[in-house]
Amino acid sequence: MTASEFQFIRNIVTGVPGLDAVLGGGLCEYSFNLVAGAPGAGKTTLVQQMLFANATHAQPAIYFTVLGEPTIKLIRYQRQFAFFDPEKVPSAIRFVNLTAEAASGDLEAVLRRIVTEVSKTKPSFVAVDSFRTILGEGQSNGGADVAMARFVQHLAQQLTSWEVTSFLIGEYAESERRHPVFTVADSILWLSEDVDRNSTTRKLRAVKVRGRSPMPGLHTIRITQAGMQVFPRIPEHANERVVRSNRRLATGVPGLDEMTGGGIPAGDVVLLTGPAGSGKTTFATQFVAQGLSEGERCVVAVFEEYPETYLARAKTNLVDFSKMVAEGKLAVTYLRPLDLSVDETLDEVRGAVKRVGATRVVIDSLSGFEVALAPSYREDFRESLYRLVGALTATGVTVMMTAEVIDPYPGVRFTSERVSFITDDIFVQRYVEIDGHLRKVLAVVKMRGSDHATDFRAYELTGTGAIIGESLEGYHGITTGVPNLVRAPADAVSPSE
Amino acid sequence: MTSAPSPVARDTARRLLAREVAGAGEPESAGLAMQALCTRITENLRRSVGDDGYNALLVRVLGPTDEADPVLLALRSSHAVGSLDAVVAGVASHGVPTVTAALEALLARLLDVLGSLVGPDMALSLLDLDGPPSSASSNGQRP
Repeated sequence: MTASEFQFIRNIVTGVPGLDAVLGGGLCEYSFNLVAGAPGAGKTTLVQQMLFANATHAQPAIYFTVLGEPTIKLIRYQRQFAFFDPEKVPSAIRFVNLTAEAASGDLEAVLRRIVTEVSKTKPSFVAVDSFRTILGEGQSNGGADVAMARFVQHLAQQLTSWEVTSFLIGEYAESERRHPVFTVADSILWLSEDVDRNSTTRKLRAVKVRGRSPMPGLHTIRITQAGMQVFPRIPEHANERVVRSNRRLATGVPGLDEMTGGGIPAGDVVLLTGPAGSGKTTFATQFVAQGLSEGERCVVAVFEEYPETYLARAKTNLVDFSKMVAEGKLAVTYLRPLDLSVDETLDEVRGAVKRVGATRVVIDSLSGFEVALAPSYREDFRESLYRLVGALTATGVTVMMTAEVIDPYPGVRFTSERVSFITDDIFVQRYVEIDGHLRKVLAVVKMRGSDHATDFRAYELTGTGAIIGESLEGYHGITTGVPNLVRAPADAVSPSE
Repeated sequence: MTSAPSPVARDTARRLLAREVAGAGEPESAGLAMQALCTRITENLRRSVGDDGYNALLVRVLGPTDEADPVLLALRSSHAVGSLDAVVAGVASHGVPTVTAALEALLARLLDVLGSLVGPDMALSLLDLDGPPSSASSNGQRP
């Protein structure tokens, strides 16, 4: 679609956050749009939100209600949404009931009534809710198909010639895609609701959008008191990636920068794994504190605790972030757990990155993130994380993710999520037993495009944070969890010294 | 009525009626003006909520006692609950003050019932979509 073609057809911004991106910009003026899906999927809310965003006294809308959707009930519930502006009724939005005509089964009578109302009001927008009830269940086969097809076509022609942008709402199953209305519609938005165990996720798909280049795939939607929000899937935008610098970021953990060959390359994705209590959050917090001390802005996405708890813990153990939060230099995001989609997470984190101008992002932790996701997304966790990380790093931020793993002695396990492939750098923490003491050790497993230390090093969690200590290069069998000292390390330094 | 209408609804109904009959000196003129209001409200509601929705509302508004009220009965040419089509005749037989009081109570109750479902502001919007015809309106403003 070229710019000149876009100019030919005026664009209608839907007023539904995220939907215009999915539609490829918005809806075409005078288009004949079908909003389909099962009952409860959010069809009425979607259309009402679009009408309240667009209808004015000068460009009014008529909302036809039909069998099955009593107007009073519709208004009663829809006005609970923030977008419902009572001041717009009836000057900008009129509700007209078609029950009598629809109940007669006379499609011509329905059309005549619509024509009469449209001629009287001269609206810019028309919605029919529910269009399916006009056509009737019993008319979906046999000879009635022809009459129905003619009715739909006639209605579409009338509405378009009146220069009306129209929305037909219908309860359709995926198996009914051969229905004549689907052929005539300029755009089809399909809403669905997936139930998986105790979780429900709503999704939207732009099946067809004439005159636009819609974003393919299923997009998560969420309905709140504000109305509907669409969370577009984020495709790869290779040509929009921020050019990476050669800068190295100090981690804030004494000794770790030396292990990484001078710090973390800006724009990298770092995975920090370790068992429970190994200090992953401490490392990540120091990473954030270091960035803030250098004038950078940061975002921390927490999934396992509330931001207040996270900030209180950081204050007790390491640093008081409250001033940085108040000054807008640090954002700590918390996302509602258990039925989350990766797209909502991404939207929240990207929003926070943009809001504070962050260059460092911490996701603490992947384990918590996975649990917070709706079950259907957990199945595609790798793909979800790939999209999340890809979208974040495209903005140039450096991402540190923590992940809890259970040490599989003997051996080394980087992460239970098998997400190593999306990371640039991997740090592994683990416990080992030396001389009857449980010690914490860390190894830099991977630094993409950079030299790094290859030895295990002990570290301590102190009152001022983690400190990397002596090398365990004289030990053998560290990965077994019970190493043996085979020779004294040359220049080992104990953290306690 | 099944219960006394709220003061706010009664005041709104009173202003709706007063606006409609403003300038109507003779009882017949007042009857015609009130009939116009009833017709417009009936059409507005039927248009918005459908015949069934309108009838259901009126049944809810009019209690069993009110259905047999001689004044309200006089305002209907048939026994259909929703048809307030004989207001002029009702004025002729009961007088302007009596019919005005009956209609005021009816409209107030209608506003209350509808208001409890969709909010008072929306109730008035649904009843009085466009206000009176410009010729009958003194300033074009809603009550």
